[in-house]
Amino acid sequence: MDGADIDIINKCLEGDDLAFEELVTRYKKLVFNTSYRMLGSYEEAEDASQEAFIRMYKALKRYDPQFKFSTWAMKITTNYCLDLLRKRKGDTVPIEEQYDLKDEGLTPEEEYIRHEKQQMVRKAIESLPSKYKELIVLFHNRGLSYSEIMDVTGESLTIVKNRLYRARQMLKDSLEKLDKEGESIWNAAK
Amino acid sequence: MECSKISDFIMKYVDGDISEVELKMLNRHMLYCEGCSREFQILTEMSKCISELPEVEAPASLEAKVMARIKQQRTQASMLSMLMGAAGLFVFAYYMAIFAILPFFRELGTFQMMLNYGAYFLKLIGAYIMKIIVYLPITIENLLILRNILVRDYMNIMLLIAGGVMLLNLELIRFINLQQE
Repeated sequence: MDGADIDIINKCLEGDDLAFEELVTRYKKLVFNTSYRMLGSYEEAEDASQEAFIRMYKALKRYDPQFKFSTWAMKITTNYCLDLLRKRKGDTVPIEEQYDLKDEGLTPEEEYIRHEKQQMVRKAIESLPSKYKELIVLFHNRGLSYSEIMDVTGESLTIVKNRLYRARQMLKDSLEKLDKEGESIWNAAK
Repeated sequence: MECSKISDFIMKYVDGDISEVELKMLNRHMLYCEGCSREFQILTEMSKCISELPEVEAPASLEAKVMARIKQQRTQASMLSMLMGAAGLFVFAYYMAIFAILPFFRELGTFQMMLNYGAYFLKLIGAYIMKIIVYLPITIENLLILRNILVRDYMNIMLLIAGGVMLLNLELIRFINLQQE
């Protein structure tokens, strides 16, 4: 099925289930990766994505076409993930080891360092309080602009900026701490 | 230049929102400030690393699962609305029968009257049985209390009355015997 998102959404609103399925196909990567980065676990991310899409389906009537559908989808997804994180306060979820695709042109040693760094960053992100985690994921991982983040979080530019700066500082501190315990790969970087 | 100002420049750099002048100032500062230079390095590395975190493939079955859940919820919702509809229909029919249909059936009068009498008698019997069940123990209890009071406090009078009654009885028996003779 081709066509702009808005056509597909209109078809959904007319009761066409296939159209919604198409919408899921289009945005599942975005929703799933966002949940995965927020929650840190593949299984939880899968459940969260399902729930997020169902929430979108139910709220589709209230979707405002002046926003991009992806922004709206992110808003629903991150809100749901924040709910989950709030509920699981206290219990930590083990970060799953993830095997990345090998990058072309890296020596085994560089590959190893890259992998170690990513593991550390993942751990550090996981340790952030949820509202800071959200901003790090949205800005650095999903590459959203400030104005998109404002739409997703519903916060003002000042708050978004301050919170993101604070989040980066926290992340940096956490990385330095992890680095001291580990092999200091962050300081050794050129 | 203060390091806190430079920290802002670093953030701007990471945002990709730094002006040329600011960038020059930042570079110059970092030549001699090791702290800021390290902060710059970690933050930029970190930012790069987060954006390069590998994308994961969403499960292929996601669409099917989402659609199945939507269908399931819709079935539940329609079941619920069907039940609500049935309940509404029942209530409507009931009130129609009582207020709109029954008044037109005059010949139902006798039947209705009998029904009413039946209900009245049932109620009466029910009330009577209820009274017995409730009041009998209370009555017995009260009688016992009365007896206790009488026995304890009015023994003399009781004996007097008993004696009087006995005497009366004897007199009665004598009187009857005399009559027979």
